[in-house]
Amino acid sequence: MGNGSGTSTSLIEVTEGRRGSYRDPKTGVTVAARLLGAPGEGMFVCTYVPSGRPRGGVVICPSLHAELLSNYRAEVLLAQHLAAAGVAVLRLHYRGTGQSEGDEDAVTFDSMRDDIVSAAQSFEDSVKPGPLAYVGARFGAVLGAAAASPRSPLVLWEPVFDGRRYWRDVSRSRMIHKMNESEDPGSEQADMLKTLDSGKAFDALGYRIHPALFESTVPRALQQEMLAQRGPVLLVQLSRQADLRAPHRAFVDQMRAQGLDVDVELVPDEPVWWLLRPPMKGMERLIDMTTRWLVGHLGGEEA
Amino acid sequence: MSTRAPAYREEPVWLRVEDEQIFGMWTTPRSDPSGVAIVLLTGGAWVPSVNRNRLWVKLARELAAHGHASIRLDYHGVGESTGDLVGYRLVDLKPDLLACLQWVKEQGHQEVVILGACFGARLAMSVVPLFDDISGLVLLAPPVWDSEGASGNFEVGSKLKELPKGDLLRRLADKRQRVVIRRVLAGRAQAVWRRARGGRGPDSVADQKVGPNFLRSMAQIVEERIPTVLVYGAEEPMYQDYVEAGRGRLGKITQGTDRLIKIEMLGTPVHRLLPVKVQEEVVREAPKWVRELRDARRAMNEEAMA
Repeated sequence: MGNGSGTSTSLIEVTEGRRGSYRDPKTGVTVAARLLGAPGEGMFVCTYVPSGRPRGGVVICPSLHAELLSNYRAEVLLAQHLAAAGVAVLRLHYRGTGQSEGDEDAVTFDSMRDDIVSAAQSFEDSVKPGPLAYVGARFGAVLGAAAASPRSPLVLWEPVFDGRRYWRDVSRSRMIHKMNESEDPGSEQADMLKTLDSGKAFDALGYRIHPALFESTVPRALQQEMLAQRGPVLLVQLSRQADLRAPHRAFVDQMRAQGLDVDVELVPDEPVWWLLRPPMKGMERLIDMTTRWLVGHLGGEEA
Repeated sequence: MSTRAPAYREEPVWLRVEDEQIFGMWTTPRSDPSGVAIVLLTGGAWVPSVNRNRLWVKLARELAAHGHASIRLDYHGVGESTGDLVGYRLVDLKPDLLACLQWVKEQGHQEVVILGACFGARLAMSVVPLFDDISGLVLLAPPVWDSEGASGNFEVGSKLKELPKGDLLRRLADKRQRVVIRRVLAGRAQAVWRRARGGRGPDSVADQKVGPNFLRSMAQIVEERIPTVLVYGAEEPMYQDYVEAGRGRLGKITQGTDRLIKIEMLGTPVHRLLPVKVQEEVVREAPKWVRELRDARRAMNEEAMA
């Protein structure tokens, strides 16, 4: 390999048009990445299908902007682990985000939720995974909750509870970055709101935030999206704090008062969502625990 | 959403490299192909091939609009690819890049350019002696210093001496961090051993920051006559390091290579590709850089034939 020699057949497995796949010889899982949809509108999806009949399916809904990148690896590893345990998995990038096609400035809460629904439908039609569960990290938790059917198990990794708080966290991250760089942080949140209100995009730590996305996500709240939820829920807190933080506690109490079966796990790590860092140290525990919970709630013991 | 057919085609590909599956997104022009293919390499810090604000996605599609194919690569252990990556070492990631270059060549592209940012730029430089058909390099803010690790390593991570004690103990409790720390200590031990045996230290202040691997890579670029564009930003510390190093051994290596190695300056620092406007500059200027590389290659070929 050091001199670049090798045959083409040793390098690539299968590529057919807008779909490339390989089979893991150790687990028998087939991993297929593709662009779903017409040219120019293709949604990047990656499926992980076990060799036998799946015991269920999981749709992993990513967060946005820097959080898509900082949680990327954890979501890929979760998909690999679940598939090795007999669960079929769908990961996607909403159109206009990640590897997908589509216009960035047209991305809204509704377009992202619709992408999850259409990708999940295509997944069900082609793979026939059985009952579906949804995993969402950060803002992906709100989107997953919005797209899921009421009986689906839901896993919420360090969820965003409402859009307003999410954008406040974004402007805070920007402020911290500026202070680290010895720059004047100014009035970050006010600047962001003023720019977006004027119909212009805002630069948040090298990510372009478009007005349509901002306006459509501000009013959204996780609890609202879960009003119809009947299936079990796993809330995962990612924090160095040893006990459940107040907003998480309030959310759990409200969900239980709604009659929901809510489990809580604490992972003692605090990812820095908006700044590039090595993978978080608690990732292995996060993935193992999430896999066990999902396998258990999709009606089987982990293989 | 746009309903117009785009000027490119995209397909995901998986390249089997030893036991791992390396993911790439292959973008090709719908019409008027130039024959050039560009391999896009991200920096360190486990950044997937999407890159910050989808920069590599936008760049690939813009390059296709100019007739150039490209592949944006996830190193093993990063993004979609399989495997585990503990620290960024050139020696660990060269196989991924070499496999990609081989595959791109097999798609019929005789002109292959590598465009890398930061660590990706250093990786691009490091494979020059290992692959015959590199027709150009675009290097975004390559650091001139090597890591504190052993020769051939280039690692992301804090320098050991700068760590407060508590943080060091926490890092030692983590298996991945122990591997990184072991490598740093091994590199330091080697440096001490070299000096004890009378090995060379830096010749001058100019040479203090520039690493021997960087110097070796630049010498190989000059020897192989690979047209190269180095891209830095105004007031960029890495550019200042490059200029300072140019007053020492680096300057001797690059003397008389103005037509081979060009510096392009953008308005703001390029490293980390913050803010959005520097990303837009990269997308806008990249086709021009590719054109300059091709022109330089053509001029050298004509000279050789004359």
